[in-house]
Amino acid sequence: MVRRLPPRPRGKDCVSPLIELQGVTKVYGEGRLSVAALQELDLRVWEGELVSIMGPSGSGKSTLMNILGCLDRPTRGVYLLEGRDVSALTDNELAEIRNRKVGFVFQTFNLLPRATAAENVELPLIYRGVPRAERRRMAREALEIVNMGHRLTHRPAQLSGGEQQRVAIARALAGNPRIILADEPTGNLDSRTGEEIMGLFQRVNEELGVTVVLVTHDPRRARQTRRIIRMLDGRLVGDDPVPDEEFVRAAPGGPDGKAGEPAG
Amino acid sequence: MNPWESLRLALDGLRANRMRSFLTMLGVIIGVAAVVALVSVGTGASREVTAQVEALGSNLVMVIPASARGRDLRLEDAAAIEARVDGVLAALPNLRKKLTVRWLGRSEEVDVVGTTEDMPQVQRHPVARGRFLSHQDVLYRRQVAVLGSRTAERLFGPHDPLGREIFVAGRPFAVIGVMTTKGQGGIIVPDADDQVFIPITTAQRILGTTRVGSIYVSVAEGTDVGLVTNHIRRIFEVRFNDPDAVEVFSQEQILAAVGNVTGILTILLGSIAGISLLVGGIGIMNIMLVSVTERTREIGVRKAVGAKRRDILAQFLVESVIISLTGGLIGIGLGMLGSEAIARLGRIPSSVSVGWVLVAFGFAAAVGVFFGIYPAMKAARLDPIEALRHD
Repeated sequence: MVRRLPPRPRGKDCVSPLIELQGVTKVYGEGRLSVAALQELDLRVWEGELVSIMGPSGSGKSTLMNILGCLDRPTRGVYLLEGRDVSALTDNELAEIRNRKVGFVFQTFNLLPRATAAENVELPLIYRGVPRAERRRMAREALEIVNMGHRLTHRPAQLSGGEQQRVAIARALAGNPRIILADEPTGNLDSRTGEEIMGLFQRVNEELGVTVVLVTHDPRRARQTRRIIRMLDGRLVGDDPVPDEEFVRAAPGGPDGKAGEPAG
Repeated sequence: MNPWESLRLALDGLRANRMRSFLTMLGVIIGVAAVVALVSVGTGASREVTAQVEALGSNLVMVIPASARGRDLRLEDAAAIEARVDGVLAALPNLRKKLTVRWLGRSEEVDVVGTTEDMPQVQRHPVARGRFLSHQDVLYRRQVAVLGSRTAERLFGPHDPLGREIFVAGRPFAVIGVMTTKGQGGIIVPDADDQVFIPITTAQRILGTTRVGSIYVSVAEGTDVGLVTNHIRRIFEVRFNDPDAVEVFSQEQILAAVGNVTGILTILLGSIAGISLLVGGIGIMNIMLVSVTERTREIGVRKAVGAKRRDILAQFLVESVIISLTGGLIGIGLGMLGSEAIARLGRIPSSVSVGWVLVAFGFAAAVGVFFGIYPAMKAARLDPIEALRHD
């Protein structure tokens, strides 16, 4: 029931979508007090896409993100991740999938305050059972990708908001996930820093081919992605590609923070 | 996640709140220290009492008049036991009373024991210097005395007591010997080293009586003590026409009775201390619950990046077990020091028993697991979405 093919399917395997929701409904509460946060939602996301989700508060964006991230299960419907039905897995199986396939980026960064940047990035690898030395190496690589290789031993409190969000993105990248889910990743940042972070997502998406789905309220940020999904009252009310002429390239956000003029 | 990671995480968690971790641990430390110290004192006391009873002599049977029956034992009874019961080496009549003993200006209240020449052999308590009472001393009611080592010390200090004249209840006695130091007694039986031995016949005359207080019967090695006990009981049953006129115990029976009492005492002390350990455990639970609440967001993050329930459970459970085990180890050390201190201050012997130390340590570990499991499960069960929203 996809009305339109996504604009630029990438990756070797474009036959089946990375994410496929079929009639997904999420109901909170029971009986007359129950509220449907998602209603009969159908959605496909192909590997390598850069998608933004927009919609007013209460439209079900966060619920959708939670289900996509395997933090929650749909009440009804099917969620296929890489073709595998994950809508009825146990908590432990979901934890395993989050660990290997999904990287989260939060509005409030959610770094562990007592851990260094490197230790924060190592976190998913610890739960994957990666040996310490290799973990170190992978964390360092991930931090280098986000241009934070020079801040390995800094603690979150010693970093700026933008730097913290970079560390959080490194944490999401560290385990080579198939998809990064970002819930208003620029919501707590000033616009210049937000621009840098968006640039980072674009780079990660284009250079590493990682699928990125992010929630935003800002139409400008949405136009920095390749596809915009609009939600209202738990339903999809729009799903449009961003034409190349409207796509906004964000500042690259190098290590020296050179947030240039957004390219048109 | 491997166990070392859990351990590292738990240590990090404890280090983040050093003061709080220490205070929580203090509850366990005090509990374990109390268990170890009190049980050690209890065991020490019980061992000491046992040693004292054993020191009365080996293969010993004691005969004492039943207090309610008003019958008296006499010298002839001791003679009769010696003559008639097979396997009896000696029957030792005793008459004991606290009397004033004086030498020159010094005056002390001492247990004066009327006994016979058999005492050193029956009670395995030899003379150190001079000689013990002889058969003739007993026969002729001589006014001679043998001093326990502590009594000699108390009365004579640095002077040599041998050949000196002391006054017992106002009568002159020649000191003919000093006993070796036995180093026992003082809790349930009199201090073996703080006594003055005089002939039983002399003691009877001083006290104006013909009775004896008790008879210690020494039984030959390899003799059935039960048979001897029954035989003695029979003799007195016939003599007084009353089966309950005297009480006859073997040393084993006394040891068993004493063991019972001190065992109960030890368990009682241990339980009281155990309660404080329990309170320490509740302290752990309390602080772990606070910790779980404080770290809800952290738990959410960990779950989001793939921590399973058992990973979170392990992290918090290991924290509480570390608190209780470390507290347990420190508590054992302090408890040993404490028991030593009690022993020195209170002159109560103490004996740290490995078994009880292990019990206390095991109990501490169990407390850590028992009181840690609920908070850890609470943490493990947190819904990651709720936890991430928590602030």
